[in-house]
Amino acid sequence: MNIALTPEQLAIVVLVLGAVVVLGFVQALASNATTAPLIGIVALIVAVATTLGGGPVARLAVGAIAVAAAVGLLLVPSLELERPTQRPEVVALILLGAAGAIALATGTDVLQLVLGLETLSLSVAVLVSLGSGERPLEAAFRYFVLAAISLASFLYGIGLLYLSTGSLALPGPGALLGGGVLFQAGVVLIALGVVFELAVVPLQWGLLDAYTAAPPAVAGYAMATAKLGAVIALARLISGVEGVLNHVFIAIGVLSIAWGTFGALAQRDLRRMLAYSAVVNAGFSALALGCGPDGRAAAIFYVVTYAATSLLIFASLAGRGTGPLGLSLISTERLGPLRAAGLALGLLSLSGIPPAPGFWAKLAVLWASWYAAGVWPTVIAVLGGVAGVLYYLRALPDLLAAARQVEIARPLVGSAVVLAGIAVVVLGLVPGLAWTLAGLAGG
Amino acid sequence: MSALLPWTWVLTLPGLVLTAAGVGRRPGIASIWGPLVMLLAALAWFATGAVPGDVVIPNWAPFLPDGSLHLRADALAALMLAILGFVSFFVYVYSLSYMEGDPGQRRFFCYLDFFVAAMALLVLGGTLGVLLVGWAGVGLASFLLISFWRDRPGTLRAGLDALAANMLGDAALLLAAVIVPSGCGDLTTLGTPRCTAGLGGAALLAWLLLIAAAAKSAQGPLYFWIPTAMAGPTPVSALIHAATMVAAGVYLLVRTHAVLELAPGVMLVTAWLGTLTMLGGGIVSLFQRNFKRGLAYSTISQLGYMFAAAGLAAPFASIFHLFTHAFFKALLFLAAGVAIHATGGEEDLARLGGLRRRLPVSFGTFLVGALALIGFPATSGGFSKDAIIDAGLRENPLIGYLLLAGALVTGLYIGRLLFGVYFGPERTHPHHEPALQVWPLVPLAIMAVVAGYFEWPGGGLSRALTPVLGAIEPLRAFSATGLAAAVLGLAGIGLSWPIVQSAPGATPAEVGTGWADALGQAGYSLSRGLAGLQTGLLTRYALASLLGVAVILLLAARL
Repeated sequence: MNIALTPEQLAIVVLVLGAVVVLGFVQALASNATTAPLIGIVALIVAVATTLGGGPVARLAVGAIAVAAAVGLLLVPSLELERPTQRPEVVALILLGAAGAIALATGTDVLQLVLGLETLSLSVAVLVSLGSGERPLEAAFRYFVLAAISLASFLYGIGLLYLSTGSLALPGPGALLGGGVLFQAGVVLIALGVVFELAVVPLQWGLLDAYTAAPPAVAGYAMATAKLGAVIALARLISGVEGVLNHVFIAIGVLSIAWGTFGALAQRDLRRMLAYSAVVNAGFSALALGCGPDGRAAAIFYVVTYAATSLLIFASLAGRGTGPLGLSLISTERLGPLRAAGLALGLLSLSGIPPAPGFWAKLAVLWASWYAAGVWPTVIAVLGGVAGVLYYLRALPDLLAAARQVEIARPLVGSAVVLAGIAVVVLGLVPGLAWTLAGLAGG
Repeated sequence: MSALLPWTWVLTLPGLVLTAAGVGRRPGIASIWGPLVMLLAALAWFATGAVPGDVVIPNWAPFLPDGSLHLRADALAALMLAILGFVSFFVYVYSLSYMEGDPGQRRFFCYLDFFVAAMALLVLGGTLGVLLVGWAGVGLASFLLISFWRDRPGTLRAGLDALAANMLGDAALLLAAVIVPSGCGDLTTLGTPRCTAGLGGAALLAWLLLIAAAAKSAQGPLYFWIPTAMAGPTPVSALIHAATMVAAGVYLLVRTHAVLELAPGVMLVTAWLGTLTMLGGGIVSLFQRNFKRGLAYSTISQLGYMFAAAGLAAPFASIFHLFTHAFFKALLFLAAGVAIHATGGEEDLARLGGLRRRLPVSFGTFLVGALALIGFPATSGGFSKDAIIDAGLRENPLIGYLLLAGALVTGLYIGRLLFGVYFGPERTHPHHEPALQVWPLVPLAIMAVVAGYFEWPGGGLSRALTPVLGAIEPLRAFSATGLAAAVLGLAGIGLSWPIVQSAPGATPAEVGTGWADALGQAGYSLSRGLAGLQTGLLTRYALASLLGVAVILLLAARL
């Protein structure tokens, strides 16, 4: 049997092996909070190294997902768990979830996609459920059941696709010619299965609750990896069947932007607001996915900046518990200068204040949308984009006023904030760099 | 110097870092040098021959129609930088005393530094993309400074009001930046046939620029945020909400006047918008109880003059009035700030009065500012306002006469504030005027008087701006219309005396934010309704998801 692996498959193997090693020594690792995360980071570095010679999609997907997982791992020691001895399991789940996201992003046939998708969503569900308190467990259960529904949609789509083409490969440009109604329905159902991970309307319900209830570090990791994997996978799926899915994605994108914006407007709990913001941002990437080759590049660019930003925000909130976080109480959180600055930078980027990366990403999406989706979707997206300032920046004056407080020192949290912060700053000051990478991967 | 000018926007950033790091025994002392160097750099640029110099880094944001990082150093940018540097330097010095003892003093100077950097970037931006960076930056700084005193009620709400208005302007500008044809976005070539060939043409582009400008400069229905913005510290009101940031809309219209001239309909709308806002703002000012709000409506009214000029194909008159207004309005605000500071934060006109004896410098400089404001002959305002009224009478006589009538309203409201605060019985016991607050008033007062002589009789300003604005009509100083305006202004001041006598503080009528409030309330109710759908009930979620999938399948089948 020929077992020549592509670089990205090798990366997946490395991450799974890393998870196995950690799980094999659960007992020994449980007493020390930092050893298991360090093993995980070594696995991530090896995985990135193996894909350096791979294609543009593989390099972008593995690189970005590895950074997201690394930030997640650095936050493991301060994670709010129901049982603190479960930290090694958390490390293993983060590695498995990253492996799933990479498989989703780079898979060449629909079975690889479905395996990746399920590995990812199962890991996320379990990670959420490990958080302290009752709310995370409840939210994780809801997420899990709804993920099963989307899996059903995906599997049904695979059936229809196989029925109409006789192949399990991702549909390519030629497939469209022979495709009838069954083929189209199959492609739409597969896309909806992946879209679930994006948390766009009408499939936002479970993830919205999960993001609100999860420990901050888990929420950041889950948002970043799931969206990276899903958007890259969808960009590749859509590029093969140009035209079939565009209207669907423009519609759900615009709907999500409007829904999330109005949902977030009156929220006074930062975590709930960020969950609605995830819907808005997913809407922007969905809108871009429906806007042709430039749009797909914009979608990948968008999701990369969004992943970096949400990692920064949630890293800054790491360790403050899983309860609600009132916007008016932010000055009492004792975040300290570094984390307050991280949170402020993250909120500025989400609200699209230039030159933060969130601003460039929105411009890129709007530009693609004006030419491909037309006037009204663009106008709604513009309004949804600028309205963000009203809810993201509400906490900013208090946050900056409180920045001089003393911080409880946690070096790993600090390094996670710095890592995500560097990503955000670089993406903001040199927007062309990520755009070029995204264009190579999505065009 | 032409190589240096594009980078003047970084000048306040070292001050920001130093002040934030706690350098300087007196908080803010490390920050005050940035604006001074900015002023000197701009003056040196003019002195060394005014050679235009651009910095262009192509393909910086490749997803934009024009994605270059383009900083433009020309006469208009240098003039704006000079105004910014001059006013902000004296506002910084004034703030050293005004903000003394405030626990957030360092943060205040950091915000100011950030504001000046963003404002400089705004005027240096050569393309819509770079302009947007500064445009949003000054909006953010304005929000942070309005909400600066978080322990006072209503400051956050006032800041969010400003953000909401700014947001509409940002939306228009964002749209303009992405819809222009590929390769377009340079502010000076926006009006070329190639760049107005996109969907909607020049008219759509002109509308978007007008909306953006109106939001920034509080014109027409978008005026609502400036009066509440007075919740910020007074130096901020002087610098941001009177002299510089709110004038950015005027700057935008002047910078892109070529686009406006391609759309005569939008021109006319601009002229009428400015004229009506000028009259409306002046009249509403007459009914304010609050000293600073009275001045805020005056700013709205004066910006109306500048808009009218922009709409009357007189961009030079517009920018000339922006130039003179920056000095006399900053002066009025800072003089008012001395009175407010000396009376322990009293802004209620019903409780202020008779301050001219205890606060002679504040009174004297306020008087100078008021005279410049009504366009008293030979003061700066006299020259610039005449230029606008002349343009009105030339292009559209009806607007011209309304602009002339505005002089009477101006006299009425500023007379009411002047008499109400500095004359009449003393109702408070002010302490003395701190030296550090008083001496920055002097250079501003001098400029309020002499700024007009940068143009008359030598024509220096218009000569410098000709490469940017095209041929400029010579200024007719001391004309009949100018004298008529001055007489009307003085008559207004005279008539305001009996008003103050009969009703100190006038009626407590507050003009609400009306439509903006209603829209906000509707948005928040919708938001609460939508959040109510997120019940946490799994069966409902599942049902909604399945329905959603079914609808999407149908949608996909139809299309």
